[in-house]
Parts: sequence; C-alpha cells; structure tokens
Amino acid sequence: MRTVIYCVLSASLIVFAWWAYKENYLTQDRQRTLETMQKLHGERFYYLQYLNADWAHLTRAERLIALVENNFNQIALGPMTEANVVKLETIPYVMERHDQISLMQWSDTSEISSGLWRR
Amino acid sequence: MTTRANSKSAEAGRSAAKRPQASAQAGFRPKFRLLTIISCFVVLFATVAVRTAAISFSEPDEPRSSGSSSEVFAQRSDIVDRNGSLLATNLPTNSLYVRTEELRNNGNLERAAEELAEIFSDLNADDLQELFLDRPKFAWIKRKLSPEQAKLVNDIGEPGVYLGSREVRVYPNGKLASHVLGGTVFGLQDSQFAEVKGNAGVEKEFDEFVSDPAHSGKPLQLSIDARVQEIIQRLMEDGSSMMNASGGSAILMDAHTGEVIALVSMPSFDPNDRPAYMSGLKADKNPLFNRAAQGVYELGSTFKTFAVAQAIELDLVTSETIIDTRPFSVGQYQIKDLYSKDSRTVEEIIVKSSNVGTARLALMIGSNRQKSFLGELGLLDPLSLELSEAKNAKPKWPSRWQSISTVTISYGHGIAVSPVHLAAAYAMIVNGGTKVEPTIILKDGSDVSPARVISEETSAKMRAMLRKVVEGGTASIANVEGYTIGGKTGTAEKPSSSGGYDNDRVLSTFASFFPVNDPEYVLVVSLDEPKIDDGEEALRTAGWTAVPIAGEIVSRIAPVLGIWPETSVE
Repeated sequence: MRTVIYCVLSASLIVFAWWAYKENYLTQDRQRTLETMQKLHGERFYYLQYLNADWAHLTRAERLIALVENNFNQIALGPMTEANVVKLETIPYVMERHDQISLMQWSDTSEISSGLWRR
Repeated sequence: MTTRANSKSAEAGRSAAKRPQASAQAGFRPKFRLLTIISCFVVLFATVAVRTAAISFSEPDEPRSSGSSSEVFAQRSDIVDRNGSLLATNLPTNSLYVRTEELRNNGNLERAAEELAEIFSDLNADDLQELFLDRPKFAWIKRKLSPEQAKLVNDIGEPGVYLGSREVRVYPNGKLASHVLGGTVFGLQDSQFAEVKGNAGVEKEFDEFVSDPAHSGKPLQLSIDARVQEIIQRLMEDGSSMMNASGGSAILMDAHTGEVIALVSMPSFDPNDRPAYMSGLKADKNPLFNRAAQGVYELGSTFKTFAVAQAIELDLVTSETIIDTRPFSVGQYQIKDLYSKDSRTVEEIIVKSSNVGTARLALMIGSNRQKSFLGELGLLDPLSLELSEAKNAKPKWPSRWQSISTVTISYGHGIAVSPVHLAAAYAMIVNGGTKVEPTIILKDGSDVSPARVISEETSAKMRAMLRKVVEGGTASIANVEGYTIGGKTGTAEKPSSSGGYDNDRVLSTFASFFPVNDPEYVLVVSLDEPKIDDGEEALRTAGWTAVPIAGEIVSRIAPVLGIWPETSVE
C-alpha cells in the first residue's frame, strides 16, 4: 500500500512540476506579449496625442481666420452680419417661382408629395 | 546481603559506563539542531543581503507589466473648451543632460561642446567645456527639446551626452485664453522623468484634478468658448491699438449661470513660451498680470446702475421720479456733473450719467443699506472664480463707510473691484435679479441659483433704462444693427502718484448685456488709458473708446452664440 502511495505522490509531483514549468513559460510569454502591447499602446497613445494637438493647432481659430482673409478672392467669406439672415417666411417657395409649370407635370408627383405632406 | 550489594555495585558500574555515551548522544542533537537553524538563518540572511545589494546596485527598470487593468495615460489631463476643442495637452519630449565623467573619460569634450553650441544658439562652447570640467558627474544642458533638436543631438553620437524622456504641456492655440490657462513648470525631475506642475490660471487651480491618475485621461472642461474667445481677443487687440490703450480686458459671461464664456486680458502672452516673472515691472505693464480677474480698479459710472437699482427696489423712487441734480457739497467735497442741470428723472440720471443724481439717490438709500446691497452683488468679497490669481482680486473699499464714501461709491469712486466682479453684478441686475457666481468651469445648466438680489420687476425696469443708454445716451455707438444691447459706460480717472486723480489717464469701461428683452450674456469691456487724437481734443471717455469695441464684439459673436439678428431683412 505504501509503495502505491509513494508512486502516486511521485507521479503527481512530476505532473505538477511539469504543469508549473509550463505555466511559468506561458506566464513569461504572456508578460512579454503584454509588455509589447503596452509599449505599442503607449506609442499609439502618444501618436494620438500628437495628432490631436496637431489638429487643434491646424484648426485654431486664429489660423482659420488668417486663411479666410488670405483667400478672400476665391471664397469671399466674411463675418456674418444682419444682412446674412432673413426670416423664413420671406423666402419665396420654389413652387411660387415656378408657377408656370404645367399641371400635367405636377400630376405625376402629386401623389408622392401629398404622401410626404401627410407624413 | 553481600551478594545483593555486589550486584548493585556492578549495575552501578555498568550504568556509569553507559552514561558518558548517552550524554554524548544527548549533547550532539541540540548542537546539530542549533547548527541547522544557524545555517538556515545564514542562508536566508545571505539571500536577502545579496538580493538587496543586487537591487541597490542595479539600474532601476520599469515594471514589465502592471496587470491587465493598467492603462496608458498622460501625466496631466487635457483641458478643453465648452465645445470640446483642445486647449491644453501633453506631448512627449526630451531633455538633454551630460554624464560629465563619462564624457571626460571616453569622449571628446571640445567636439561635444562645439556641436551642442551649434544646435543651441543660446549656448556657448567655452561655457559648456567649463561646465563639463567643473561638474564631477552630471550636468543639465536643456530641460526641454523640440523633436528636431533631439534628432540633431542624437546625431552627435558623443559618449556621455544623453537624451532624457519627459512630457511637456502644449497649448495648441498659442495666445488664446492664456490668462485663463496659466502655465506649467517642471517640479521634481530626474534624467528620465519630470513632474509637470501648474503655476498659474486653471493649471494651478486644478493642479490636483488634472494630475490625478484616477481621472485616467478625463479632460477638464472649461466654460470658455474658443471661437468667441478668439473673436474677442482679436477685436480687443485691434481696438486697443486703434484707441492707443496701454492695455485692456474683456469678459463675456452667461447672465444666468455665471459661466465665463471669454476672458481676455491685454497685453497677453504665449503659454507655450511663458515669459519669466519680472518682479520690477508694474502690474499694468506685465503681460502675466490678469487685468480681468486679478486687478482691481475704480470702474466709475458703471456703478450708478447699482444705486438706481437699489433705490427702485426699495421703492424710494421710480424711473420717472424727478431728482434735484444741482451741485451740492458733502463735507469739504463738492459733487457736480460735467453738464449740470437743475433736475433730472431717475432714467435721465442713468442715461446722461449724472453724478449728482446718483449721489442724491445714494444718500436716500443710506450707507448701511448701500454696503449691504453691494455685498449681495459680490462686490465686497474676493472673487470665487476658479483661477489661482483671482484669489488676489480683493475689492478695496473704505473701512469707515462715511457719507462721502456712500456718495463717491455710488458713482464708482472710492471702491475698486475687478472687471469680473462687475460682470457678475451686472448679470444679477439684468437676468431677472437672481444671484450669480462667476465660474470658469462648464456647468450642466441645473446650477442656476434660486437666491434673489432684486425683484423681476426692478430687473425689467433696469434693462429698459440701460437700453436707453445705448439708444440715446452715452453708449449710442453700440446701437448696432440687428441686436439690442443695453449697458452703462464708466470713465474713471486713475489715481495719480502724487495723490488725487489724473485727468489724462483714465480707465474706460462699458458694462453691457444682450439681447435686452431676455439677456443671455453680459459683456464688460475695459480699456486702460485709451486716447483718440481728434485734432483739437483727445477723446478718452468710454463712449468713444470701449463702446465701439463692445458693439463690434456683440455683432460678431452673437451669430456664433446662436443669437440671430432681431430685425432681419424682409
């Protein structure tokens, strides 16, 4: 009986030792992977920081205003004033401007438009 | 008997012979145990000692891993504006140091010094060589390098010249909101790491928050709107240069929440290259000085609003009540107006900015009630604004609040407050009468204080009167197309170094709000020593200097803030 116990204990010792050996190398491998990932994460993080800072620098209001002023001839953008805003009801609706369009033309779309209005 | 005695003695002899053997065995066991224990302890202590020595003599390594929950985050949180635009962030950079012993032993001192002096124009090769020889082991050369400089240094390849790693605080918008953001300095530092500490503005005030790793990259969100800040900053720079002002400030505040949308102080600076503190320089010449939140000034007639509001609130007068505005004396001081008239209505007192009329109202109110009201408006206490400098903005007012103080304070002399104080007080007067605490941090909208300083009716009457100042009073230039602005001008002569006041040096202020019917924003524009040469006479009053700038600011920022013109083209 004692021999059997010794055998079982020895076998389990070998199994556990093998398992611990394997786990140790697995842990070390994972640690190396984690280290690489963290390094990569850090690099990516700082790269993102660079990009964010660069984007904020390139789109800063001071630069955009300078670009608008320098390219006024092409884009003709100026500060928004009262003249740039009108009341909605004063804008002529497209149908009023095209009231010459024949009823025939409208009949094709009346079904769709009436559906849209109901919605 | 004899036989028994003999046998006993024989046994005794045998046992005596066995005793030394047994005692020898008994002595061996404890000795063995003792030796075993001693050896165990020796081995243990030797292991610990060897390990300790190994750790102490080895180069420190970064931990290889700190668990799956570890996150990469910058040393300080970003700072963003109310729309999420980046105002401050961190970037990795390098420092430059020299291990002088290594350089002396293995390198070429002369070459290293010359190469470094070539890269950094502010360094001298001879001074560097002297430094390398003087310092026994270590010397800093530069605490912060640009990526280009780091590459050039790396290319030198001289042993003993090292690049350290560290983070640096970056402000991508340059001068924008520099007085709000403040700046940072390096705290504790070694060759591979440097602590970044706030030394002014929100960087200092929220140093603990932004450097707390628990926030794990969560940004600090300010109430500032970068777009509006830029517009106001540009208009203030252009305007003050046109008005020949030595400096100025502007504050745009949410009239209901007290959030500061823009805060400008001029002259300004670039926080990326923060100028060194110059102790000998007067505050009004120092670009680091925050005129809006740090400086306290006598803000002149803008204070008349408070006397009139209190008199109406106390039912002492209505806007139509006629007040005697003939000059009169208080003690040895004579109170008079620039354009004297025998009587004016309360509304005219505001519109025409009558010192005498306001003084009469203040005397009707009385010193105690006046002091108490100004206290409720927050004009007697240091600012609660979350800027490190704002704590220094302690209003100055007389310790003995006599009749003459009551009179002069009613028109803004004898009391000095910061422009932010004034903006917050105007917000309380025009927003319907509720209390406002100025803040630089974005609020969620539910923090509107229910406390009241004046009634809704008084607030409405004040809005109507202040609108008339712009429609036909001292601030008529601010009557811009499309927007209804209300406000009050103030031109305060600056105290002279020889005592009294200096006629030629004034602080021109315009405290305004818009839109008049339902004010959303309060704007305070202040110019220091403005002067427009108009041929015969130099114009210095707020109506000619601060008011036009404020009018232009409102017409430019209103669409950005989502306020559309009230009189659209039809």
